[in-house]
Amino acid sequence: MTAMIDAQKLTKIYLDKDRGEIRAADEVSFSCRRGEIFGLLGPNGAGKTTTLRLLSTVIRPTSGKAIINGYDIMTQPEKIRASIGFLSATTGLFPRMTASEILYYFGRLHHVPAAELKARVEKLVQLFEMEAFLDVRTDRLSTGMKQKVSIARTLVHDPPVLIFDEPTVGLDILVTSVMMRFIQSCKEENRAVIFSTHIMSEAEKLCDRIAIIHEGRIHATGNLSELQSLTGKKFLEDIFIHLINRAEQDLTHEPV
Amino acid sequence: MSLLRDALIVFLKELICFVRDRNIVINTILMPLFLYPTTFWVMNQIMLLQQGAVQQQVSKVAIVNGDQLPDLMDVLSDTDMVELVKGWAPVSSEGVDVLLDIREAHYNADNPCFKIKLDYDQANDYSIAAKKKILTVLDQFREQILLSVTLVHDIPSVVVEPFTVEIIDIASDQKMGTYFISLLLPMMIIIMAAMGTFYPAIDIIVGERERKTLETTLLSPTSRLAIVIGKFCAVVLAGIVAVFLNIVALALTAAHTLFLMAGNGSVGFSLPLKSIPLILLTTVIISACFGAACILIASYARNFREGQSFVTPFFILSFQPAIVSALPGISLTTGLAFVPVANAALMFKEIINDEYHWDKIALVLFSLVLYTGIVLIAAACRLKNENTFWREKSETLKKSFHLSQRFQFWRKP
Repeated sequence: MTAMIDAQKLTKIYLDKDRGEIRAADEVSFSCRRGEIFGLLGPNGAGKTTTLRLLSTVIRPTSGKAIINGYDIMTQPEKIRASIGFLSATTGLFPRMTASEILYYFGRLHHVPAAELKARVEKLVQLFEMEAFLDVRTDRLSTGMKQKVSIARTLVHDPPVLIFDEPTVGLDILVTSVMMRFIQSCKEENRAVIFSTHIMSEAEKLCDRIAIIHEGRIHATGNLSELQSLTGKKFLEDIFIHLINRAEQDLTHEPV
Repeated sequence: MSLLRDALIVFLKELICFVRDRNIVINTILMPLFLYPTTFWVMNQIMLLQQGAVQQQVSKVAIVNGDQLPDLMDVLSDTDMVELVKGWAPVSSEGVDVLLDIREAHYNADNPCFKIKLDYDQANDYSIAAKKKILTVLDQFREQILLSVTLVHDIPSVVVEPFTVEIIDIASDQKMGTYFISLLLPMMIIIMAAMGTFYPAIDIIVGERERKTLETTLLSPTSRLAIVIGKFCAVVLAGIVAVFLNIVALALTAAHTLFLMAGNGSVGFSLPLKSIPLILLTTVIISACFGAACILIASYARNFREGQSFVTPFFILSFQPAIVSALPGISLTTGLAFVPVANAALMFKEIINDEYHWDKIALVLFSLVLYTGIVLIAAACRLKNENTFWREKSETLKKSFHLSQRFQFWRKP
């Protein structure tokens, strides 16, 4: 099956006044098919967000390439953004707009035809049970309600690819559960899903394949059994720690 | 003692935080130390220079029945910076600055008695300056006559009044009202355009970044340029609305102020109809210029608070040149047409007074559009740079203008 997302050696280098050259993403390569949930598992600052931002074209890679839904991130960024739904802790909602206004606003920015947009919004409102707070400003909504609006915003243009960057950060267990069910449902709808997290249980529960990322590099990719055989460890947490330790040893012994 | 010791520890910690806080350093230390003294010193110097320049301006003085007072004519002829015009001429910006009409003149050394009617225009800076100059000359002339009379007749000078001067302000109430408005309105328009764009300009990038809504917008398939244009237009509109509402509010409340300022119960004012499109057009350009500049400056800030402290000095500095419109005797020249803000203020002042120098107006509009274009391109470059949207740490100017980042503007996002 053709990959919906195909990242090849994506690299992003920042120049920092104090720390010099920083490789936020270092030759990151992976692929994700339709109906697959691909997990990026790494500690804070591992390069997960940078990698996902590169895929979403909001930042440009220093080198490397990626194809999403047949479009090149370098030459067709607008088509890429039309093909993806991106949800993270940093994709906030306009506090002075209502849920309804936000959904229509993003639908229009995604050039969804008016009649189709109306039907789409109505469907999402029904799906996420948002009728009661549809016309309430989002700064007056609870965290759970906001999360529902964010999810609906991500889906308003019916994207074939979904990218979730640590979507459960700061959420309570009930809202997290809604989020997890939603991500699972995306797989069932045959969408390609990339899901970044540093929470092992989430990755273990949701992901078909997992890439362990640390210091901007992917150190291993595979499903749970493949990672188990690679490391000789049973639990994902142990696998993760094993790979991270090995990566740090490699870095220490790397010739200068 | 423990209380004081702990308070001291907290106090010292706060001091360390203060001096490391860029906002506090800018607003509490740098602004009072440099900005205000420099600004007000410069403005004061300009005012003094300008007042001197007005006094040094050649005043055109028309004299009716001047041949009856040859001594006065001689004194006036010998006065520097006075040009005499014999016979009647209107007091106006195109005519003379002051008209002296000598009546009931029965002048001789034994029985000096005459009356001088002095017409001037209180709504004309040059006429006011000329009036002052002529009154000084007349005072000197009076002293000269008194000296000769008291010497010859041994009469105490206090009982002799050699002539009387009747001062008549020819400016109509309407003209006076318009004059006062022309002093106030240009500054008001410029300050309000700056104020109107101040918060929206900070909010659209820094505020949105802080609220984490910027990334949500950037993830839409809309081009970044379209987002920038949309946001920029909203900022400009905020500036225009602020100006418009302030003009309306000023018009509704100014009558009372004008009444007090002019000391007359029937002061009014009017804006020439043809001035309105020009004022509106210039307001749009000025708002665009302020908006782009505020966006550009605010984009270097990490958060809204820092944005405010970055933009505030610019805000204060930017409308200082507008003060020239309230100074006496400054008119729009070719050189001033290229001084941003001052050019718009002076142009507003002239067109409010129904004076149209189209060559200068064209230069003002050209220079304003040019400056706005330059600032707008700089702001667009800045907003095209991905670091502007993601920056959360301090950024040095050197880093901001790093070549590799600058060239990213020319690439398609």
